[in-house]
Amino acid sequence: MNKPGGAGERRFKRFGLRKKNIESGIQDEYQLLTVRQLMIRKFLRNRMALLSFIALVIIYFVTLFAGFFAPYTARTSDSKLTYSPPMAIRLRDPESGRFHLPFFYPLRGQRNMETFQLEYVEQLDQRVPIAFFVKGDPYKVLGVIESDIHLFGSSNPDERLHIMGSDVRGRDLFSRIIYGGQVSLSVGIFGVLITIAVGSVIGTLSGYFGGVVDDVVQRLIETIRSFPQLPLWMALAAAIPPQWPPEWVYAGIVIVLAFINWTGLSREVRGLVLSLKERDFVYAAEASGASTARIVRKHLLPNMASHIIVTATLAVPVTILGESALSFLGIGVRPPMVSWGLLLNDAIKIQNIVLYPWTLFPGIFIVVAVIAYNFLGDGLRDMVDPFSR
Amino acid sequence: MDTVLEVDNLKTYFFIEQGVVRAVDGVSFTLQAGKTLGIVGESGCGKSVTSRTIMRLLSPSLARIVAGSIKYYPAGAPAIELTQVDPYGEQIRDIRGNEIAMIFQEPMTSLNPVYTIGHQIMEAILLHQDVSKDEARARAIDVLRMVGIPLPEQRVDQYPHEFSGGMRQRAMIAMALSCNPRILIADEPTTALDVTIEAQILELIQQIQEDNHMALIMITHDLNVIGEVADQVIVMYLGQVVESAPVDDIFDNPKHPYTQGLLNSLPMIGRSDRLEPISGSVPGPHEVPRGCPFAPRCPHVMQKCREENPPSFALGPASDVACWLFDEDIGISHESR
Amino acid sequence: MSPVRAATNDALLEIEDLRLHFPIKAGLLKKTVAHVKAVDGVSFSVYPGETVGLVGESGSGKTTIGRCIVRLYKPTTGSIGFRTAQGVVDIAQLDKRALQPIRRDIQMLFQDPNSSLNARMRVGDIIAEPLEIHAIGTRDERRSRVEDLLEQVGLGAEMYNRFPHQLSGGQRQRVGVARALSIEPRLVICDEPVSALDVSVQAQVLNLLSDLQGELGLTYVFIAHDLSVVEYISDRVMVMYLGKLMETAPTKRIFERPTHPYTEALLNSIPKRVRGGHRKRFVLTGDIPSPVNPPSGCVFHTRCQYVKDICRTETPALRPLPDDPETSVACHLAEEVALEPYYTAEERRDLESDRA
Repeated sequence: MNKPGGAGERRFKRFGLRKKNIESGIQDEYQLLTVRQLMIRKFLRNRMALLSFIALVIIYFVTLFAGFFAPYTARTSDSKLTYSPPMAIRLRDPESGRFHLPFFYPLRGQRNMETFQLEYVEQLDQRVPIAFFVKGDPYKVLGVIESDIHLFGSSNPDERLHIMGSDVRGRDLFSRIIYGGQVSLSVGIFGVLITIAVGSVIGTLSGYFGGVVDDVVQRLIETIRSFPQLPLWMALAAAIPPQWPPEWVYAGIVIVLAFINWTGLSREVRGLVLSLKERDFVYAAEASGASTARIVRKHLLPNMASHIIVTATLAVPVTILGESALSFLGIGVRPPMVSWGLLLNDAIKIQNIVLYPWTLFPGIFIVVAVIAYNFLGDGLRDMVDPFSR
Repeated sequence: MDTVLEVDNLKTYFFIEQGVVRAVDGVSFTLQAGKTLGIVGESGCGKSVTSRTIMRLLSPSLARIVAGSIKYYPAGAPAIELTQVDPYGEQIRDIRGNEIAMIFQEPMTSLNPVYTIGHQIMEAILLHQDVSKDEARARAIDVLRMVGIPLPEQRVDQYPHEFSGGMRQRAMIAMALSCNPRILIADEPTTALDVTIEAQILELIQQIQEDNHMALIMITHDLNVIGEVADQVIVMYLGQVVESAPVDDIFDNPKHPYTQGLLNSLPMIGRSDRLEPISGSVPGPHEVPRGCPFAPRCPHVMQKCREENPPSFALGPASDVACWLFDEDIGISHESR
Repeated sequence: MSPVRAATNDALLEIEDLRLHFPIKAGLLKKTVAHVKAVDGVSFSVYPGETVGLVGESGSGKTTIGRCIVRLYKPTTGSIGFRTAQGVVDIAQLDKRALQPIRRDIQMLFQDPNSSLNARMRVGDIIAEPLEIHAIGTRDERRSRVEDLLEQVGLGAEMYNRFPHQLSGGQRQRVGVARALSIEPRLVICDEPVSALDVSVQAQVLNLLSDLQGELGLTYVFIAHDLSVVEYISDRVMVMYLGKLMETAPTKRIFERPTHPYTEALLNSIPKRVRGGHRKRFVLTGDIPSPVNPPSGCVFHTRCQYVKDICRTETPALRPLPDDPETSVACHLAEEVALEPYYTAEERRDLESDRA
């Protein structure tokens, strides 16, 4: 037998196989991977998806324990520090240049007598150390356990620390972003849960039974989708009565957002059902006398689950953006609730962006969350089809 | 006899996620003008990969020619070593379609649904030959007529979906023949067709072969088709050629236990005795056994078979068999059984 | 061999003038513009313990008949009489609830085991599903029944927890067989059960099916396009063309003495090995006409080499031959033309002497 040439050997090296295996039975070298192993391997190989997944886990964890991670509550205001710029955390002694435990210089407002703007000046003679696990505003962990320990904060309760600046009433923007994340990110999850429930049920019925049911549903979906999305959301959101308590408004917004999203998923599910119901294993179940419920539960849903999860993952960022857009325009969630879109509402006026550019920070969080979800969805899509390259 | 293609110890391996698949693992044959070589084997035996390697249709990022040579002898020109040409280059494109053409199992996936049949045939002609559009169209109508499509002047402007399955396969053949290739590779050309249509298509291919003195490689799992069209047959199992012999020897005096097993498991009309299937099933691409690949399913398996892959033993001018039973040192005469 | 039958009323299955026309809908209002006449007036009987081969090219309606019998499709008209302990019931007319007990008696074996097994279920659960649906036995009883079945189809009980993708094609089809047999049906509709399998595995499954028939006294309707497979397994053969039966006859007779010109054409399109080489095949010209607009008269007249005027205008009925009541044919010319068998007498003699 011919030994493979030099080029062939190099190819083997690229695949991490030793040369002696070339003729002696390469197949001994590896074990057959199960589909699940293949899927996990595929996902792990998609670095962006993995990174996004880790980022999302961290973001959700932080917002879930917002009280602990945020130095203040979302409502703690301070009239002395309205629109304070982000304060730098310092780790170096300016005189000696040596390492110093983290501290910051408190700010004092001074009226600029030419522009009549309030300008903040660092009080370089005062160093306020930053403390960890510091006592501060009381809050409840997961709404149950009372606590007042915060991950970090100013060691002096009278000198407030705003690492991302503050807003018009002197509320800490960083804390508000963390609390706002609770709303913005959960809207995405709850909106998509409703989307999955409604979309898969209607899609399955429409695909499985066909006929009149299918026609009616498809025409309804076409009608809903023929409206421009944002104006339709706005119209529906505007219909939420203003006297409703904030929690109801929140639920209303979730439903409004799911109202359009379910159509996409339902179409996808319908297509899947149409192709699955022509498969022989469904015929086999039917020929054995399986009920429709059993066929849907045992044969259709398990074969669609991965697709539904992928579609749902990609629908989360759409929902997050929707909530942000509505809240930004002032017809989404209402104060005292906070959300990223609502926080961005501070940046709605151009002079605010010029004077207080830090009000755009919530936008960065929206972008990061949306991008992470999109990468995660892509990664999952690859994973669902482990045999594609 | 003029040789048009010579394949020697060809090895094409796939490098995929789970490891290396030795899809083609030492295939040799020669092909003469006007003759038909049949390649027969079950799924996963590497017969289709062999043909795609010859055409250099496999993506280099996935499949690599690890060893061996494929020599193509063009008319009145020096031989071309096809393993060395750039699979995306000018040279192979001149050969592909023009001198070596291929027809596939599923005509619908090989025809582009958005172009008319005529457009697709003309494209092939214009690509390879220096003719005007009108001449190409006339040639397209000619080949459609040649493959037995009625009213070719009208059919030439129809789309693939307007053709029936048999007609589509004819159109595929017309496309393959449009440049008068010297070699036609037919990869399971009739597997998707009914037997009456299969008979039509095979008759057509054979007739064209005769008229044009074309060499044919017929790849199929169907022994009956092989028996009908082939002159020389190679039987493949798990990427290796286990037996190579003239067609009548394959049917009347098969040597390799795998060939015998295939024939014994084939229901044949008028033979009412019980079928004797080969035990077990074709192993997956990652479970290829050490030694002779057929050893685990072979009724005559010996210790040596499990340890060492048998070389090819020549039994006659055109007969080779890769089986230890034919090794003189081992001394078991297969004939005596 | 086919059991002796004195009267027709001992049939297990009796199909009478079965028709299934699929509507073709077009336009905004989904108006029915035409019908695909998939099955167009088919009558036949199946007797207990026999294997009836149903052959024909694609589009002949053979699969549709199979699916009507297991009531995956509801026939447009006609009756499917099935003999039960309580007497004969017409499957074609039953509603879903009334069908349930019948489904225990009739099972289907599918062509492609890749598509007929749910990839997300374990082998054991797949085989147990019919038992579960009909609430047969306790969980443990079902498990031991499935393990027995796995042994019976030659797989071994250790396959219980595997997934289909971990099995080879032949093993998957054995799982399909085990599922079909789990509720002890009397009639199994085998829809091309070996055509997706490798040659060497085909024979294993064919032998398994015929062994199981002997052990369990099953009745098969065996749908296939491959006549050599049908010849191997069937007692009787029915030849279909464009939704109609052309000929039904004992297997031996079909191959030795075809009566319908289409049977002759189909038979002689099969490659044949004779002494010293392969015989050239008979080539039937043309394509199958569209089942939306089948030809008038005899549906085969457009491709028939013996066609006469009467064939173009009058539809021949399926009628038993006077000299052989076991053979029925739908051809005006059955008595007039002499048709070529698969093997000539001489070839058959050669074949026999070569084998000896």
